[in-house]
Amino acid sequence: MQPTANAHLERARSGIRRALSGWDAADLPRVQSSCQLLTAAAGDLRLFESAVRAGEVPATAELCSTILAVKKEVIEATRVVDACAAFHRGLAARTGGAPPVYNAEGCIAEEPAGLESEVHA
Amino acid sequence: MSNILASLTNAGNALDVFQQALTVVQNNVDNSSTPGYATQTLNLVAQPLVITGGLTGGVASQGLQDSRDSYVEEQVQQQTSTLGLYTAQAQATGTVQSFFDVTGTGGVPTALNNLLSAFSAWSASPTDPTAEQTVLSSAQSLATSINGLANSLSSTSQQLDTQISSTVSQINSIAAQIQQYNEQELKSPTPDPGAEANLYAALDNLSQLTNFSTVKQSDGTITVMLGGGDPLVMGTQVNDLSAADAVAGNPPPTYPNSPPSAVITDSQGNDVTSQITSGQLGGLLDTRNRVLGSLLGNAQQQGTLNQFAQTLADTVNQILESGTVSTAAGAAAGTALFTYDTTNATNVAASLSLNPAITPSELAPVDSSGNANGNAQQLADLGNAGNTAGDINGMNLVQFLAQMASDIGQENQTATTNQTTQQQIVAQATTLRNQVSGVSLDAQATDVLQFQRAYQASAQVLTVINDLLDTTINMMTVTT
Repeated sequence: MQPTANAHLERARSGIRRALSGWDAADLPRVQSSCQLLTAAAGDLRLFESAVRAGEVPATAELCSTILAVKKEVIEATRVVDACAAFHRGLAARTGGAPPVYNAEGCIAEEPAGLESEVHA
Repeated sequence: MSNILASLTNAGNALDVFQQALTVVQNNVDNSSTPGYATQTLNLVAQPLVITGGLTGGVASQGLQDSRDSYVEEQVQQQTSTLGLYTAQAQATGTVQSFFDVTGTGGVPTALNNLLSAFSAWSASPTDPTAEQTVLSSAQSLATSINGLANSLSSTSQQLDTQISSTVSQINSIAAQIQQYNEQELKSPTPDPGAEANLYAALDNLSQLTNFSTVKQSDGTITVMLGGGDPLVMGTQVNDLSAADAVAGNPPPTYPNSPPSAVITDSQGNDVTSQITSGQLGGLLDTRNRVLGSLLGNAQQQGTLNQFAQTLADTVNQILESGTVSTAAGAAAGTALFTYDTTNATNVAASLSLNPAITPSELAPVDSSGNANGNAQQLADLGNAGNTAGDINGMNLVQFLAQMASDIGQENQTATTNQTTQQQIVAQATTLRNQVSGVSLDAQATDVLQFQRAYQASAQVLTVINDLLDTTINMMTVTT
């Protein structure tokens, strides 16, 4: 049975919460696991958004309130992740490497020049 | 024979050095739970071996090396400082919020509604003495309620002043500890892991209280500067802070008799308040000066509570004084219902009272056009949506009061949410510090890159999620 549009939203919210509660900045596998949960949540939200766009979801005040609550949780999660990223940007600079280079999508495009020798040594 | 003796001496020296290394390891184990302690390692250096030159080689110690990294320490201190800010804001705004009744069963909103209801009943029976008396007693209750709110907020200001003074004392005490460390460092520059541990524990404690930065000088001393660069500790000098209340003179005050703001000065008397933007002290100052200042007034603003009280009194008085007590020819003009301190716009809420000279029969229900209940009806309508009499910033009195409560509620909610998130950020900064501590940062370069990629990936997905939510919210807004 296909989940309803609202179930997609609930599943996305649950995924975001699990990602944040399981987040351990110092544990790479857990960071990656949180990232997978977030990716799955993004997939669910995409399905929910399509359903809204298709007019399949009645726009109630309760639903709007739920979406705003999810957005608040996402903002909190973003602050936590951004704090980690900022910490490691500084750490990279501390190790003598140049800051990472980002492409147009905001992903790290190439390894910083200063780190190259150590990475490939 | 001399070669054998040299070899034995060498071996003996090496044993001494390794004994020192074992002592260092034992000390690390003993201090594993000591606040501020960082793992120490003994640097070992090979001695030159030139047989013909009489240099017999061996090993020697070359001092202790600290695994602590200043960047990582600063990160933890900064995040801790931010947590101190949010925690103090959440607690202080929570107290302020508690004075604003949002249940509709008490406080100023209920007293205002009671007065408007009394006006309404009076407009139905403008000559009824009971209705007139109810108006007076409701006006008295509202004035008392507004006085009570103003007094509660003033008391909170005083409590925050006490907390600010206490926090400043703690900062000065920590500054004195750092100064003692500096004195010791100048007397005996040999690294002392115990003293270093105490220093960093002191800096961690300081970061809970205020924002600052540190610079390690070439003589081994630590210079601590407040956020704006004003030195708190420099070498063996401590720049003690003081807390006081003052009405800001620059820019020139619009309200010179306003409640004073909390001011922090250094030992030279310089105002350093604006440099303290984080930590517990930053949070206390923010609530004391910005949040309470916006309600009770300060040098530059009247304060929303005073604005509300004055608009209420002026509007009601103006309506009553424009009418007459009856429709009879030559009837007496109405009397003001409220009085307040007209010499100080920031003291209106605290001084608002029922006009002591008014009697029920002096209330004027008749408007200037001769309508028997015109004035009473105008007063009853003050709380109606769309009524422009008594408007403040486009809101009627009831709406303005609700907005004040909403604003302080929002302040508290934001601070509480920030506090929760920041607790997690501090915990992870501490974890990252522990992870990095004791390991060569160069050796971690590969790990750093992997972590950066993982964080970046998560941040990217969160951006996508955020965008999706925004799009969905916009569609919902359009369709509702």
